[in-house]
Amino acid sequence: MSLRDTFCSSPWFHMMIDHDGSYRKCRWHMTNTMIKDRSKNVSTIREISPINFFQNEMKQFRKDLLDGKKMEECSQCYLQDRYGKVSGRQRQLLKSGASLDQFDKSLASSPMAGYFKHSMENDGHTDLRPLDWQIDMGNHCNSNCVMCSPEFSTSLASEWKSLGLIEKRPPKNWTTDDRLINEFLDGLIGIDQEMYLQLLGGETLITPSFKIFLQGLIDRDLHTKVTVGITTNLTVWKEDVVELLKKIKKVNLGMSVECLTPLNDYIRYPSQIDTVRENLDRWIKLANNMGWLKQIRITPTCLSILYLDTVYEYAYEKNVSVESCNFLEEPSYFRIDTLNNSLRKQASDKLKKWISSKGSDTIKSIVNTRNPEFIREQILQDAKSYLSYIDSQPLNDEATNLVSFLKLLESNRNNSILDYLPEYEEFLRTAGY
Amino acid sequence: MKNFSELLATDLTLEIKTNGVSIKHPLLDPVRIEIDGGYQLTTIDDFDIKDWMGQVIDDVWIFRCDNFYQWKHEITGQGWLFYQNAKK
Repeated sequence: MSLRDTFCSSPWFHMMIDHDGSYRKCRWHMTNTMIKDRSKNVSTIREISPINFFQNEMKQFRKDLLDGKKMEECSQCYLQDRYGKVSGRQRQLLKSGASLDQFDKSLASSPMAGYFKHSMENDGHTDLRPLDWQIDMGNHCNSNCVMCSPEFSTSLASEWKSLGLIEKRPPKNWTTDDRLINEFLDGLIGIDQEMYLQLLGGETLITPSFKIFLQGLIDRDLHTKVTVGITTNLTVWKEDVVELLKKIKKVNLGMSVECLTPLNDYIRYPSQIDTVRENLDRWIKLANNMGWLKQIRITPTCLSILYLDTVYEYAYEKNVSVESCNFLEEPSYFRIDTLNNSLRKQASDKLKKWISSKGSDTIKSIVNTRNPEFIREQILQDAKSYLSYIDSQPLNDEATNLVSFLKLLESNRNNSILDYLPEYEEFLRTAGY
Repeated sequence: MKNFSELLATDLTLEIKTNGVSIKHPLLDPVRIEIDGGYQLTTIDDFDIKDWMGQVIDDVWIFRCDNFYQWKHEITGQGWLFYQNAKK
């Protein structure tokens, strides 16, 4: 592989703090890698400062990338590259001025080229400080999304514990310690560059530390130079949080929904589609008034793929971009490729029909998916990447595991997937439903 | 290009084409193109430089940029660049 296929500039400006306060090198190092990481002894915010982790403990990662190594933890990005989905790697490269077309020249022309060279000559060391943060505030959440896990939802943790799926709850959220939040925010003072803080839950709006964090930014006068990214599950509206957000210089708003039919209630249990739609419209109106960037965030699974077009259609009409972080890997039985050929064909035909209804043939690659000028092209690009994935990804033989899991959840929730997805009856019955 | 070290060791150039006439230009050198009589079809590494991207002074069309790929990033709306204002 060439440097073009493996290199990423992310570890020169980005890092992540996980729910339990442990550090991660990248927000896209999710699922398999992250689960593996959790069993390792990784540093936490209780032990060393984020800057110390970034500058010293990420040295080897930077060195490997400069050496052109193919990294196991970057496999999700390689997968996205393969199916024409804009990968985290491409997004991060763009933030340093590099793009896959004219890769060598754009990378050599990057304002960061001198920093890459410094790291190359110093075993991966950098004097830089992270500017692009993903900060997981904790798993405080009122949703029990079927494809989620207890580390991201307290409600799900309770349910999984009662069903015997876990023995104990996930570790305590680091943001329950105000001292750590204040130390983190103090560490941002004096950085004279633009910064991006992606704050994640659980459900951010009801996470107590989220308000503390926003107020902390305002108290330190950091709200004038940061962009804050948040994602809401659209089940609640909190006026006090909205008022705090209005004070932040720039806000990138993410709104999670899987489809705009009652199936969303089953997947993002126990949401109610009427409330979700009402809040969706309300957030979009607010974002338009405030000039915020807005995106619908999707996590396509084998359950939602047949109705993904309802989100694309809504977004296309409202001129709101649509984005998923990655192709879902875990839980593996929720992957789209778990579907049999018949359902995959139905999903593929539906997406093709929707794409062609927009009169799209080929479009140029939109890597800056937040550029408001190209929202509709970006939506089509996202739809095409899922089409490509459905049509090409080999079968994932996990239908029986999917059915076992759904039956267990349904025994607690007193619902049935067939009430929402009657089209799946043969597929699910064959797998033991 | 297998690694960053190889990239640094490579002599990279821009291809500047004006009305079909092509010249090589060092990648990181500032670019200045002057065309007497006004704009003519111009590309840099196959990227169209439009008339409006330059300016006309005394009947001479002038295009300039310090770093072509950073300029292209900005003109095509690719978003902010981290560390662009940092002291190196």
